[in-house]
Amino acid sequence: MKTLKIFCALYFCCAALISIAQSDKALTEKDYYFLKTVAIPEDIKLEVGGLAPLADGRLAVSTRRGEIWMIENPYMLNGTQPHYQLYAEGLHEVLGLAYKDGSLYCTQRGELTKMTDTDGDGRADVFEPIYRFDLSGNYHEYAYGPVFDSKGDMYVTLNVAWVGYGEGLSKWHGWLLKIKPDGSMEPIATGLRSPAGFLLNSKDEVFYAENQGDWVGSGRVTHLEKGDFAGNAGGLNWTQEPNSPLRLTKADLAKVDDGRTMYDAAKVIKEMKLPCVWFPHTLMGISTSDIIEDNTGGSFGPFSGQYFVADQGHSKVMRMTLEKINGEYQGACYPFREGWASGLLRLRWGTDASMWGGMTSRGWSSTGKADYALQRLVWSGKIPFEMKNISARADGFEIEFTLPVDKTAAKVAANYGFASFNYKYQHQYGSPIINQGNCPLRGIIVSEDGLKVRVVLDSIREGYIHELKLKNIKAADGTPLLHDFAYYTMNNIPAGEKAMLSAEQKVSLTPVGNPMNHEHMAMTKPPVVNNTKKGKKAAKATATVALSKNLNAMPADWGQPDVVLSLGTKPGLKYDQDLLSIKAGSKVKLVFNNNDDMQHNLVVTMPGMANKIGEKGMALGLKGPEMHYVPNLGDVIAHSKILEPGTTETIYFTAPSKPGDYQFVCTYPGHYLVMQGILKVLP
Amino acid sequence: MAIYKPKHFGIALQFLLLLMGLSVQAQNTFYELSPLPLNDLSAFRSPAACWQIVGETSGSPENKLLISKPGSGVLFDNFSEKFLYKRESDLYSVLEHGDIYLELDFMLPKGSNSGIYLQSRYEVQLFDSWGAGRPKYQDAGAIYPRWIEATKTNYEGHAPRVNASLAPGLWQHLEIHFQAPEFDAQGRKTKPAMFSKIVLNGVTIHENIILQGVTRGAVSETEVAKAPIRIQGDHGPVAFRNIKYALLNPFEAPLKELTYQYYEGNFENFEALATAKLTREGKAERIDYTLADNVNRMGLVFTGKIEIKEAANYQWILQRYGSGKLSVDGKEVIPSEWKWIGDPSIATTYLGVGEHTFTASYVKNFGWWPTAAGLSLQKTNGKPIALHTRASMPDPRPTPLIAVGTKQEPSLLRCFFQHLKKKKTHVILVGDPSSTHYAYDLNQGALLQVWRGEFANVTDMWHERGEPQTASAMGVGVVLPGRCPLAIDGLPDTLDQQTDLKYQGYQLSAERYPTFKYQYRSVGFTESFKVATTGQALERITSIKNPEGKKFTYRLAQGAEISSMGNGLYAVDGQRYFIRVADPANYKIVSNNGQKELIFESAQTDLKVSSSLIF
Repeated sequence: MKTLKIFCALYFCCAALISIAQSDKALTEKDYYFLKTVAIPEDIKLEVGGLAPLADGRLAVSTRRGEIWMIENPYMLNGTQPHYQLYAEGLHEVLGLAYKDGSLYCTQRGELTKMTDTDGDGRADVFEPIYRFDLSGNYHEYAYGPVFDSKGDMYVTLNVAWVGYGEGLSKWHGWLLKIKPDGSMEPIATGLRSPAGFLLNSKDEVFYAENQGDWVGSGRVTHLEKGDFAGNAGGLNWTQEPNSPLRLTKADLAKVDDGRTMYDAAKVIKEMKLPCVWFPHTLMGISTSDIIEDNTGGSFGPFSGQYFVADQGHSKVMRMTLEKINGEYQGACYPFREGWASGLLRLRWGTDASMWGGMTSRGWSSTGKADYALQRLVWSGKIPFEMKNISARADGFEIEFTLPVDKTAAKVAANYGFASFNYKYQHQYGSPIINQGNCPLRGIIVSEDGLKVRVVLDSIREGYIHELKLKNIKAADGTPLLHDFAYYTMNNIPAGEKAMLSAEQKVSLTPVGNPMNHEHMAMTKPPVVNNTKKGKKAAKATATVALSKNLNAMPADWGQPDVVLSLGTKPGLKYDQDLLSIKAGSKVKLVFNNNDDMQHNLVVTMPGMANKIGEKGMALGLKGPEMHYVPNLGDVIAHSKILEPGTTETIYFTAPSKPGDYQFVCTYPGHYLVMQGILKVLP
Repeated sequence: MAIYKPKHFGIALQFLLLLMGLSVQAQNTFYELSPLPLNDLSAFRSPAACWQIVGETSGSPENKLLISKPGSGVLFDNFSEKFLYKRESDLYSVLEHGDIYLELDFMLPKGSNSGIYLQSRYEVQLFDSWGAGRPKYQDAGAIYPRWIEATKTNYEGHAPRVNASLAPGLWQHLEIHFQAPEFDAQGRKTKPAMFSKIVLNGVTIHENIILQGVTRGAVSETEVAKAPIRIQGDHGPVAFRNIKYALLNPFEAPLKELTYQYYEGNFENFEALATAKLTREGKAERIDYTLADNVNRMGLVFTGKIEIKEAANYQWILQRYGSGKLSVDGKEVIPSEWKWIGDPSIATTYLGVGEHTFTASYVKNFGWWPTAAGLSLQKTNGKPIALHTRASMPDPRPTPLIAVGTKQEPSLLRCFFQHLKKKKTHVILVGDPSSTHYAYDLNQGALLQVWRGEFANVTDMWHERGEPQTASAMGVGVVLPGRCPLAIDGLPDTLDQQTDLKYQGYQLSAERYPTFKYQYRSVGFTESFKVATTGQALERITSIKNPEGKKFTYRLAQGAEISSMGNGLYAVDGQRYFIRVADPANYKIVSNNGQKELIFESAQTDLKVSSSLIF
């Protein structure tokens, strides 16, 4: 009897300990949304381009190798296996698929094709060209779609060609087109560069995702209407066609091609449409791909009516909210779910309100290392504690949470950080972050039910992207925020009442030396105005240390370098060599050539430190670009700056005196895991 | 911030596209070819009576004989029974050779057999292997086996990689790169003979096959440094034309006093280099790209002397990515030009015995391509000497082959396709289980190419980004003009896809064969293709619906010449391929734009036209 009592006591003790342990364990994305992988037969290269979930539970998949696969039982109910059947083959790189009235519609490089199985054997027999796309033979002229609107018309987007920059070599490339079932075509909008994903929402409004590149400072989503110009010059070659809805020419852009913001450029170029949501490069993906609208009515979590946006390079899905201010869409983007198996290209809703993701990374390496994959994201049923929606106010923002917030934490001014910044509009590739500035917090109003927090800010700027960072904000039940930052694109500051702040709601001028404020100050461009000695020293120290490891001129006392190394990059997130060797202590001149069409850098690190330095580089946030994504760590031996495509930089450094396998890595966000090499230091 | 230079990048990208996926080892095969004269038999030693000089030969898939016409230029073995197995029926050239490049056209009638013996000892088999399926070491292009008399056994024969035979009665093309055995001063063999490459009808069938001894039926078991070309004549009729060769002789030309000047920077051209600040200079053993620190933005100038031991014509071969120029003895022989390494600059200079000075200059100002700087010297038909280090020219990239094969049902593949130097963008390839395939231009309703063998090489489509996006035929075949067969109002070269010809898609039969559908103004037509059972002919069936009774022309074939062989068989473009129709009375041969065309005119409202392409 005594043993039993002891046993029970022990048992309950353990149980209590376990449950305490569980409640202390921080929940991650994986706990709220589960990724299910669909097995793919070994001989099928399922490089997904298009997805069409069918109402009968099957999933049609189109691939970059020109095949259409019909997968039966893709949901693998009760632990059963999927079955693959080839529906069609021999098409030319099918990057979009849709089902309508018994036929499958797809976009190949050269054609919008309707496929029908007329004899009922499960394979398409009739292939009708609905519309033919002109092609120059340039590989970059991809075609995407079709997406049907509610009237049964189709929308298609066409990539520009790549000739060192984006060019509209063939007719209608760089455009959004509307094509009726009878094949008649209406050009809608241009200025598109790499429109791999676009959406028709429940109101038949078109939103498309753009990728950073020439004329495009960062990835973004734009609402397209007839006659719009979305920014990239390539498609303007075709505005003189009789049916073009706009007459803007490339020459017209010359007057704004000077690095001013797109907001300012749009004041001069009337046809220019600003993005409704910017996805800051490397912070919110690097190659924005598909967009879908949450019309699951709550079956996929608390984000009904919002949007999900995929990223190919970072193998993740982000979230987007929109509102209309002054008749135009603007909104915010939030992190949502990382960790997909390969590069996400296509998203579609399954019949059970799960989210299908079709993936491929051939030619463009992604964080998810698989060459291709098919996965499905399923909601656990648990509501994550998130910033559900950010809405603009005349004097700041209102943040709505998915669960009531812990009011005490929500009222602490130091738990918030706000800033705004912009990008250049220019023909060059991408853009650094420009005109960063803080938005000092002036007031916090927490709603009675704890679901909303209104923040009153100074220095919000129209036309700017605003960063919202939250720290130590918990739900009323103690759950931490799953994602604690977001970016709001403030194309229009809404008119309206400014908040009346009570004394309690007012935030006093942040005291000097406050660590939060200190961090914000660091986000502004040098020279840094900082009242504390400590801050000044720290900032200076940062600058000096960083520069000393990036020497572009040979040290005067060297005479001659002992060794000259040459390293380049090649497509697919690779250096052109994975092993370099030098003698310990030697004077090294390293010529780094970025031959790829993306930005890269080169960081020489202590042995085994490449991944850590890569991680820290990613975590630099908005500071990243000015630091060239090189964190201020002792394990960094030497580094280059971030190089634009096609440029070169020479650095000088002394090889370590201790022999070993040092490393070199590209710390551009998203690259470090795959883009590394060994620098052997020999005795 | 990068500022792109459009004029270079456009071109750069074109070549980048060509380069991606290709294994580039710029093999210089610059030969000055000498013809073996065929206006009489003086190039041969005591030819047997069966050998004749004629003007023309022709044949057909069924005929065991060739028909000849008088004239000159064609060497014809007018074989008959009395020459069978008679060794003296073989033909020996007066010319004796060691290392040699030899190319020729040959024509065999049905069932015939011949061979080319290099040095009268190493045989490349000529055989009618049309329709033979998987080839053996007695088939066309095989390296004939060796023979053990004691046990009467064949050994060390090499079947060609693929059956690259064309039909009897068609001209076929053979290229042989042969290296003779080498001997020391005492006459001992130090290096065996080798076929470095044999190409039959454009298909490489052997590469780097070493011969440890003579093949069966050699004129002697003893291997030698030089011997005549021998053509087999005792097994059946055969004809030859366009026999050309280059005797490849090694030579030496040592480099002396080579120095280099290296300029680091982004130079637009050589003029900018002239005023640039020198970064470094020094001595060099050979031309070497790696002497540049920044291999992508630099100028390199090499100056030196070369010692010539034999007065002759020499070719300078300059290879690079970017700009290059060359002067010899103070005179510019290769002016500055911007090229990639697959497109070398070649200049011929006469060099007398003694030392000659030269200056080779290179400028590169972009990062997109690999690095390379090459300079080679070749005495006409000598083996080129590389004046650069091995590191100075890139190794071929080890790209694995990605191919689409055939299966029990037809294989379809839409792709970009190179046709007559143009990249066509809306092309479909159809691969048949019988191994006879075709490429069809959907924009023009035109057959582009037919071939027999494996189906399609898609490495350039599916390796990495697949920048060329071109598929290519794997096998022996025939390139066609690429014109729509149907024409209304004349015979245009291309049809306007917006106003005239509308492609309407294709339908797959139960066996999964496509039928293509078109509307050509008021005339609708469909096209389908069938492979004849043995895979040797492609049948084309065009079904025409002409409700308005418009007069139209159906163009069956087009070429420099078209001749009727009787019974509905036509030889097209100088015996390049055959067309067969069941109703020759309906067809006529006309001239159009300097070409001959085989046409059929009609105004019928409902009509089926069918023909076979035999190759």
